[in-house]
Amino acid sequence: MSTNRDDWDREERQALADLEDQFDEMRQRHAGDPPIELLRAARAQVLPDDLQTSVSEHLAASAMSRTLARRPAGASEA
Amino acid sequence: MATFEELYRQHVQAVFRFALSVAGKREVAEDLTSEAFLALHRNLAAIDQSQLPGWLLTVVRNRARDWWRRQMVERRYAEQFAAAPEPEAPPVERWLLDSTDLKQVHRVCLALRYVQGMTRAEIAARTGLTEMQVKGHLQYALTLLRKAHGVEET
Repeated sequence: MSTNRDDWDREERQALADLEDQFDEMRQRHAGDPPIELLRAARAQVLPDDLQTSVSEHLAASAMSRTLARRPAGASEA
Repeated sequence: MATFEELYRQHVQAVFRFALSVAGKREVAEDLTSEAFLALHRNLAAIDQSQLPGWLLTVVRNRARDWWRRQMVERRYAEQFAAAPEPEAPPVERWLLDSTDLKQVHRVCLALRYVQGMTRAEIAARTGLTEMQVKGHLQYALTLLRKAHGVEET
């Protein structure tokens, strides 16, 4: 996973320029979070017990991960 | 009673989407889908077709559980993701999570793009949106971000 800003367009750079410190802090805070695939698998209760327990505990403690685990309305399952 | 080919055509998309949602990887989802239909083929004479596609989804769910078990990540994740209190979030994170102006799709796109550093194509692959939809949602969300945080448009 990269945070390659070369991929950002002009609008993105402008919008985030003054907030870069806060986004850096967010990236650091969530650098060790489980990947979205694992979060959604935990939400679907398909993980082995040990892993299910630990990721579920993480989900209970992390609003960011709970947000990612929920499927956006209108999006197909992926 | 429908033939196997008819059942396959009828249910394969739903089974694949479910497999992708629980495994998160296209190649694994393809394998899980194949295993589910292989199981259906083997048990076609014995199963009640009115139980489809639920029966197929149960096979996928069980196979997915086995797949995750086979992954050697269990111990690592079990230790790594033990619950720990989150320190105070910066204002922009609280806005991303709590703003009533944002829909769920905006939150997910923003987080995957600017926190996890994904490309639009990577976000599309994980959400089921098209790249154009991802771009549109991000543009809208950035407009709200600018307004909320007083970023001047140039």
